[in-house]
Amino acid sequence: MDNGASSYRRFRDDGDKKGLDDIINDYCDGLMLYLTSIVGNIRTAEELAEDTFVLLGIKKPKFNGKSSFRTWLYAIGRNLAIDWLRKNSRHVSIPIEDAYGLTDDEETVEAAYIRKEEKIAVHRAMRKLKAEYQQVLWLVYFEDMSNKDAAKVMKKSVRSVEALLYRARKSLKVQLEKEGISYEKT
Amino acid sequence: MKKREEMIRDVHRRIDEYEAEHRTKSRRLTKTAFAAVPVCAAAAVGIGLWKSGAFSPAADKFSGASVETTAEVTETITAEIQTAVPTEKAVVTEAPAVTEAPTEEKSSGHLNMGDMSGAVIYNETVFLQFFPEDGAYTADAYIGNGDDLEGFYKGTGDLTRFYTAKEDAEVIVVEFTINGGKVYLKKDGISADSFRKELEKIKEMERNGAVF
Repeated sequence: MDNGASSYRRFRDDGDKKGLDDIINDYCDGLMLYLTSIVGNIRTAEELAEDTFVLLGIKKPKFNGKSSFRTWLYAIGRNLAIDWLRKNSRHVSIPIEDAYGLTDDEETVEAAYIRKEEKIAVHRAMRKLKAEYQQVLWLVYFEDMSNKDAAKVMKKSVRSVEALLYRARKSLKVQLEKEGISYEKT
Repeated sequence: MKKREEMIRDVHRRIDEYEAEHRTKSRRLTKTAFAAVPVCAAAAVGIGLWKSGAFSPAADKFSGASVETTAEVTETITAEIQTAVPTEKAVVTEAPAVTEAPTEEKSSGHLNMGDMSGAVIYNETVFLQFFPEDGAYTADAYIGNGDDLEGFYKGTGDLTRFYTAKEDAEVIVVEFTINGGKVYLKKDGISADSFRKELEKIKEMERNGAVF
């Protein structure tokens, strides 16, 4: 997997549909899990991830290479998720099965994307944190983004991402302790 | 939850649908634009004519009448010149070209009615219409209205108002109060008497049923 930029260039400039297929294959799961941290529902996140790829296909926005392709893609997805939240803020309802834990779908994606068991436990603990904490932890610890890239995706300053990350880690630690898990990031 | 292939298929389907709809819309827009062009052009011409005063009552009353008059009178005078002038000239010298005759007539103090789309007598001087650039002359002192000056505007009363021109003492500015239109008249060498004679001829033609 390259960084996605060349696949997107093939799709955008040469009309190669396979380029978009490669992007979907490479980024779909990560994007969906990231969007889940914003909208709190894997099915909605899946729809939004699909919307993100459709937007790439119809608007063909220009990727200028100022950040990594993934940072850029996640920022587009985040914008769509924020729009979705604005439109549905009065009507958001979480299915009863989603309210207390993960759905089967999310578990499947989680297992496929995260793979390491201990990280999966952390991810599940994260689900009980505030949405912003989930987002920043996901981007920095699961997507291995730098604070700068995470700041770009979340449209915040690097300083505020650092502060957010600090509070998120503290909160996650408390949550993990509650669940009897001791986890130290290496 | 969709499988990866399903998502890829759905993404492409939605993109294709969007593009098809987009193409239909732009085709419809192009068709509408082509249909609208003649209508817009006609509207533009209509507005242009309306703005230029072509539909105003004043335009019917003055411009139309003077154009008709010009045509009729030109024919009459040209016919007279063609019959009279060559005979006189033939006695003196070689017959000049018939086309030169009107110029000689004019310079010898006779009126060439072809120039008289607008004409008045002011202070026993004949002023004939000419066509300077717009705004070349500005109205200065009020001379009188359509009833005050002999000529083509006689009887129009306050619908026409005459002014001297600020820029040239030999120019009269005629203002049409009904639509703000302006006509410019310039001092001409022809005598007031010969102009009056021509006016008489026109009146006689009118009395005989000619419509100008």
